[in-house]
Amino acid sequence: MARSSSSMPSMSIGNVVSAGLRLYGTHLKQYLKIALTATGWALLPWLVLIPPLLLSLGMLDTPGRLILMWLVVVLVWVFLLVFCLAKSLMHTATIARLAYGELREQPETLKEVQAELAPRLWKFLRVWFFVVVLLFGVNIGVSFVQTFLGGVIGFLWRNEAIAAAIAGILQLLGMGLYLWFTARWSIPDVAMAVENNKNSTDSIIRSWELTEGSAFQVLSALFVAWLITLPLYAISMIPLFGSMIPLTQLGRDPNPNDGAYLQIMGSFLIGVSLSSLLSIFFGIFTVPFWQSVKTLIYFDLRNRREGADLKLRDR
Amino acid sequence: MRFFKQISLSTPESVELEFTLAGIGNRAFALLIDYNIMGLIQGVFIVLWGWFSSGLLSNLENSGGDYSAVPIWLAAIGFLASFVIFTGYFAFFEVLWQGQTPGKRLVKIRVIREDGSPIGMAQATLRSLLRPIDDFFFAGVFFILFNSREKRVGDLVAGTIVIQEERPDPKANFVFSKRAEELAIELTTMANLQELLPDDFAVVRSYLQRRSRMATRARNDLSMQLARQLKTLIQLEAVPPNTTSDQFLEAIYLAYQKQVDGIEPG
Repeated sequence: MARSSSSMPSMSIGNVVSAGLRLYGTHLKQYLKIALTATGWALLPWLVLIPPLLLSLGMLDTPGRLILMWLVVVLVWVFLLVFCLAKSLMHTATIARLAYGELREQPETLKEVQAELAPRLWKFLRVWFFVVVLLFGVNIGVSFVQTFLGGVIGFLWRNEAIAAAIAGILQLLGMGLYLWFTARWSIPDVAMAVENNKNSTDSIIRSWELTEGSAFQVLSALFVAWLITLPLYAISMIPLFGSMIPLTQLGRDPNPNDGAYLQIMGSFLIGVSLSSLLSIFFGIFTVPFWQSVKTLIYFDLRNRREGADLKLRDR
Repeated sequence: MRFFKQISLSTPESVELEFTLAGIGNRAFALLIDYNIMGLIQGVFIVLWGWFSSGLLSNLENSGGDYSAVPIWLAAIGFLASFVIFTGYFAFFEVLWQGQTPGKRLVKIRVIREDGSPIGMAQATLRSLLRPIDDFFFAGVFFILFNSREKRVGDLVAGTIVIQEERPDPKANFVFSKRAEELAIELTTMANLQELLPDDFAVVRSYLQRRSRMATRARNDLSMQLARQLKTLIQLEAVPPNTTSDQFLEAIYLAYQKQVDGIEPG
């Protein structure tokens, strides 16, 4: 049969991840640049805190002025933080939109996409915020039910072993339920970036609708994608674990004035900071991968659930 | 598809074969499944070996004599056996199922030799023995990512590649409504079916194949849209009354098939 427009049937979990990686690989420079910008926006509020911190060192003898200064700083800073977060989310979503254009074989330029997404700045923030709140609610709900059931079971069976086993099972079930919700709300930012005239609630509902009946596949794809990024995370953890080894040599009651103690704690702090810096650095490389994989999940679900790829050729 | 590496191999009989490489996602997923099964097997083994060892030791203790070296031997044998299970699992299944382990089977990938023939005991064992090297600090991931044929160390040494198993296209096994069959006959006279291209037919076919798994609203919209476009394409003046868009698409499918059968000789 001749080339058909329906050449992309629903993809397997592994293929979604591989294709996401290939898509990222073929647009490496462009996506990395965007990820760098997104990371820059996310870091900016924290960098901004450095000058006032340095200033306060010189104001230690005038506590009144110091407090006043920090009141002003914190007030301005909260606004800055929210704005920068929105900017960072928007840039991250830019990758999804670009990737979707590639998948549909109707690519858009970066400028076009940026112009399209700029007015949605606050919508991306709202989507992010709602999902965080929703998942937080789920978490609380699940914990509440777990605790309640655990209590009832502990009351009914006074056998410790059985109660512990049931508590373990409840814990697993709760985690599964929480992950299931995470999968259902995993792609609203992609929907927001790709679909026009959607508000933040619509996008979250979209994510929910599209993933209906596919939560397990979505979760597996995300998990496999995570597995592939694991080497990078492992590398970033080396300084942290390295600096934790001397910690074990500390006695039971370390003397805080001891030089060795200070040295060990100092190296631990350096380890923590190095690991954080490394994970931020590797984050720049993993963000586009995550966005590509999420976009492929979205793309695949739209083809499967809505036949988005079934289009007659224009004549 | 352009997102997967295609390779063509020529067999010893000089036959060109096209394969799609498995891809890192499938391989990671297969390994995840295999390692879960492996974990279960090893867990069972450890429990059994511990039970056997403690039984043996208590027996020896009762019989008197110096058996202080026995525990370390038991541990060593247990460790060795556990390694044999680890390598044996992959080698056993890859030989038995011609390049597939349970994980690979579920994910639908397969190990083959570079000339396209199935792998044998030697290749399976080499791949399995070198697996720890690939696992060490995830070296295999980097090898698969940066090697043009997605080979990890085990594949390089054993001369194997991992490919996607070709899935036969699900048979067009549709149930057509009676109305669609009637309409198909009418269409051959009422409309100009010559305007339909194989591409259009493929879209209709895919729709009919996949519609049962689509979301209701999206499916209705898509069905209406396709029906409208096709009606214009085949220059049909009006769709006969009491026809749903799905019936119309079924009718187009049937009518097109009949037409093609009519043209083709034999």
